[in-house]
Order: sequence, then C-alpha cells, then structure tokens
Amino acid sequence: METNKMMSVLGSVTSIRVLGVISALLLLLPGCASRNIKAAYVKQIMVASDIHRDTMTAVGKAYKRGMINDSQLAVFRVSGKTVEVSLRASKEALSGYLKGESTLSQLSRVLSVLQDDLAELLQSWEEVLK
Amino acid sequence: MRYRPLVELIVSITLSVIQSLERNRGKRLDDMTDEELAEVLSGVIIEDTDDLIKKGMES
Repeated sequence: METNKMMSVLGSVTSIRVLGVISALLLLLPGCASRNIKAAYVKQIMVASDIHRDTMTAVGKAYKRGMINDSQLAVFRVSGKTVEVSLRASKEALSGYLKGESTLSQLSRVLSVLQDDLAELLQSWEEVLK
Repeated sequence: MRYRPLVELIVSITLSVIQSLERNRGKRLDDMTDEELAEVLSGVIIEDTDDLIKKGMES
C-alpha cells in the first residue's frame, strides 16, 4: 500500500518534471521553429495556457488523493495565481503588439516574466515534495 | 524510458491543440495575418486557478 502511494507520488513528480522540460522546450523553440515570429508568440501563449491548466488540475487531483496537504496546496495556489496573472498580461501585451499598439521589447519583457513564473510554478513541486 | 508514453501523450495533446486550431481555420498559424493571429489569440482561454484546482479535486 505504502509502496503504491510512493510510486504514485513519484509518478506525479516525474510527470511534472516532464511537463517542465516540455514547456521549457516549447517556450524556447518557437523562435527557431516558426518562420513567423508573431505566430510563435501566439503558440507560446497557447502552450503556457495549457501548462497552467494541466498543472493546476493535477494539483487538485494530488490534494484529493492526500498526496499534498493544506499548506502545500496554498503554495501551489499562489504560484498558479501568479502564472494566471502573467498569462493574462502576456495575452494583452501580445494583442497590443499584433495591433501595432506596443513594441516588441515591451512584449518580450512580459513574456520573460511569464516564463519565470511558469518555471517557479513547476519548481514548487520540488520544494513541496522535498 | 518508462515515462516515454507519458512524454508522447503530453506532446501529442499540445500539438493537437495547435494543429486543430490551424485545421479549423484551414490555415497554418505561420501563414496568418496579424488580424487573424489576433483572432486566434482572443480564443485562448486562461482559466481561473481556483476553478482548475476544484476541477482536479472533482475529477
């Protein structure tokens, strides 16, 4: 029973690590993989939004199964909220850039914050499960 | 290598989201104009963190 629970926790940690690696690749690659840089930014927002959704849903599942406690849930919630705010700001900044209302450097700053916040969210798993 | 199927699953889900968007519009994101990209971007849903956690607890 205890072994099963441990394997389940390890599976979750690994899943999140895998998600982290994939997200890092997807966030770094678009600039090289896409010939249209604006399309690459749209893809980044789409992928980041998917990562936020999947990670926070996984947090809910982990809490329900007793793999994380109330205080650990609170840590994830704060990180998730931070990513959510960054995502909304990035979407707005990109929308402005596509309409010619803001510059590339303004957009890059917001996207850079989003990448940091995403990395922090994924790192929360490591901190909590130490 | 144990987790290879999981890696493939996550990659395929992400790619399918992008591909389905492109397919639905009959055009790749790379070939879209700024206006079309803005329209696609407006369709990206950023969900509330608390709602997502709740959804995970209920699933």
